[in-house]
Amino acid sequence: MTGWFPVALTMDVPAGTAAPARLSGKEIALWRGVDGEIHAWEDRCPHRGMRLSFGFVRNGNLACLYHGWQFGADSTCRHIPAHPELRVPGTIRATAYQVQERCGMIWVSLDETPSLSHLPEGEASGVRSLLVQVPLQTARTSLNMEASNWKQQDNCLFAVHEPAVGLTMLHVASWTVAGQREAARQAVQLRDRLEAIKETVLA
Amino acid sequence: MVREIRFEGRFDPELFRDFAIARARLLAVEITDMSVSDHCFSVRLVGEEALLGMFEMACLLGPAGCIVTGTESLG
Repeated sequence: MTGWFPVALTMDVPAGTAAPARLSGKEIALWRGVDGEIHAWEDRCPHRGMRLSFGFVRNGNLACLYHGWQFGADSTCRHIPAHPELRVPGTIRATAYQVQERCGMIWVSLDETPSLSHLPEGEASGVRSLLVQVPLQTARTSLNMEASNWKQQDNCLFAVHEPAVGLTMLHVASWTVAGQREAARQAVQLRDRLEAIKETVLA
Repeated sequence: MVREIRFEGRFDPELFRDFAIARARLLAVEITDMSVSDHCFSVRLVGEEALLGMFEMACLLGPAGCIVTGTESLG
C-alpha cells in the first residue's frame, strides 16, 4: 500500500496529547508536542510493546504509560526512569512514519520517501470523520477518487482511508467557515449513499 | 561489562535466536557467543550493565511459544 492517507483530523490531536489511528490494520500512535509538531509512530513501545498512544507528552517527549520510557521528536529513546543515569543508546527508538498536515487533516504514508505532490494544498479546516461500512475501493470508485485518496468538491475536501479491511473512514474538510455545516451534511449523505450501495449489492 | 546467561525451558530455537538478536540490536548489546537448542539457550554478552539486565529480562519473557523455566547468570 503506497501513498498518503488521511488518518485523522488535525483537531483530533491537540498539542501535548497522543491518539491512536489505524491504517489498513496497522496501529499508529499520533502525538503532538507542545510546539505543535505532529508525529506518527508505530503504536508499540519498543520496550514491552505497550501502545504508545496510551502515553503522555512530557517535556517534548512521548512517555510510554507502562514503564515511562520517553521518546523524543526524532523517535529515539531519551530517558528510562528505572535507569536515570544510563546514557540511552540510539538503537532504542520507536518506528516513525512519514506524516504531514494538510487541509486540516493528518496524512500518513508508510512509504520511506513519499512525494508531497500527491497531497492537497490549502488552508481548509477539518470538519468531521465518519466510519463508512464499505471497502475502501468501493468508496474510492463511487467518489471518483481513482488516482488518489481525496477529492475537492466545491468548498469541501473529501478524503478516505482504510482503518481495517472492509471499512472506510471518510474525512471532510471545508475551505470556509460558512461551509462547514454544509460539508458535514454532505459527509453524512455520502456515508448513507455508500452504505446503501453496499446493501443493494448484497441484496 | 561482560555477562554470560543461560536459560532453560521449552524453545523454538530459531524463534528464540531471532528474538535474542533483535533485542540485542535494539539495546546496543553485543552478542559474542550464543547457542540454542530445544531446551537451553546460552549467550555471552558485552554491554552496559543496565542494558544487559534489560536483555535478560526480555529473554525471560521471551517470544510467543517459548517458555523459560530457569535462568542462570554468570559474571
